[in-house]
Amino acid sequence: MEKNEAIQIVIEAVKGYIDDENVPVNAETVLLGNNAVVDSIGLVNLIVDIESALAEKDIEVTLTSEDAMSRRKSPFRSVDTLSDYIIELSA
Amino acid sequence: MYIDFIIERFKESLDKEAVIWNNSVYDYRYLLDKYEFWLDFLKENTQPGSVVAVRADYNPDSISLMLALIENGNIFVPFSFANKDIEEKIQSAEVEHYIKFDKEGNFQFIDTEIKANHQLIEELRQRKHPGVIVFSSGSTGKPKAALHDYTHLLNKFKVQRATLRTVTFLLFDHWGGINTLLYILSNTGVIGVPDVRSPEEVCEFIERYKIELLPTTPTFINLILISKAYLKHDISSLKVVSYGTEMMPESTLKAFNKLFPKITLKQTYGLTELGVMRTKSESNDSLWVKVGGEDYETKVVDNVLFIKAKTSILGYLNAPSPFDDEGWYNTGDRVEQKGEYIRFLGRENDIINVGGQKVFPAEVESVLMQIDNINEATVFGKSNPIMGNVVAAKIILDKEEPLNRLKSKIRKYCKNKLEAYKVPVHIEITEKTKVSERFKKVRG
Repeated sequence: MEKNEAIQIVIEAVKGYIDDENVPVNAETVLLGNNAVVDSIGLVNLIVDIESALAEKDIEVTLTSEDAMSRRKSPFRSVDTLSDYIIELSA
Repeated sequence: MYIDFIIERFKESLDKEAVIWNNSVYDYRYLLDKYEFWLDFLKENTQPGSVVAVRADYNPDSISLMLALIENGNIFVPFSFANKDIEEKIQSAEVEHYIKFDKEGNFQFIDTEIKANHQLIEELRQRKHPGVIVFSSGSTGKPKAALHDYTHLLNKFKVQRATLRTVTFLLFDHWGGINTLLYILSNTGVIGVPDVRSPEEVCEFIERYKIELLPTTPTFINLILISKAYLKHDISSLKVVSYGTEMMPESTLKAFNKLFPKITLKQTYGLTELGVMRTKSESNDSLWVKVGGEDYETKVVDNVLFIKAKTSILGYLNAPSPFDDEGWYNTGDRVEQKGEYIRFLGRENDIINVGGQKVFPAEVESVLMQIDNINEATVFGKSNPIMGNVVAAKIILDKEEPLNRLKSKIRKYCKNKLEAYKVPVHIEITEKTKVSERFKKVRG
């Protein structure tokens, strides 16, 4: 999968979940921590939404694996890092 | 008169740190001043034995008010800003006065014109004891108003014990939170209230204020592990992390223990109906635990834990007594036994535990079925590596509709009707409902 495509999938999911046109969403958007656009239950929703969007493209991945949890740097930090993680898993 | 021993200890500790809130530290002198203000206020505006609800977050004001309510002999009903069904709860708890704070700390004093005359409330008034009403989620999903005699709880705190600098991010209406708070105050310890309840913010708070005890849930421990917030902030001041309210995944326990071998992990067990019990874990990375203490008796029947407690509630104001003739309470928790130790296996029934919060399928189903074009909804829990479980729903539609549109429609509709953790995360469209041979809905 191309990086742009992955970013687009993540951005669509974030926009769809927060459902607020006043919040800009782009590759830099933060998903985890103090400046995050979603809270923890929001992140959980987002991950499920992204997994189903990927499943529609016949890409079956589990984003919350033990691997994701035990990395030193969380792949859920931002739209960009999450997109990289999706590409890595779907490769 | 009820909390003389606590007030005495305050007076001996005037210059000691009491509450850390909104980037400031308040001492016991400040709390005592506030307490006296509130006690005067209550004496002027309420009668002892009257039912007073307070909606607030933890702050020096609400904490002092809570103490003043005990001293004045009121029956206290705590609400948090997360409660969405306050009107209904005011009715079932027979609230007579309502002190409603906004987020800036301003308050309104409202007379509800309700007259509290429930038999259990009368019983408590005859004892001339202060009370507290907390809401417990029952098996039907309708919150039950559980009435406690406050003096039971206070007696536990008469013996002075050591305290640790504690952070609390439980909501104001949480029974376990009230216990923790009273424990700390009666031993003139330090209670820290972070502004935001996120892993980052809490870890930063721990670092800044050298917090020693973090009472939390397995989900929050998971969120700390996932967010890596502990790498940005030094949380080595922590001595104890206690967890309860939901099943602890063994993997989380072991991962945390590996990262922080010096932090003692302590499992707690509390039920609204019984109080919070002392527990002793077999070891730091073990889920085997001894539950009880001098005020509790336990027995296991058919793998289900039963408890008899001196500190149990008088009863529910809006439901039949949950105790059998001998005073035993069926916890509904399935357990395994090994000598004196038990291990929790999960709930007997359908309750979905989302990060420590209970969700009753029936409640969510009833909201979903109000939505246009939804004929039938079956709600069940689906395991989730972050929250333990999340809410999932199978939907039968009237007319065909694309899944994405249905999903966003459901979220929009539920937004103002359900707390965020109750809103279904997974949505599936199906043809027909699964029914068991007893003609009961099969969830999952």
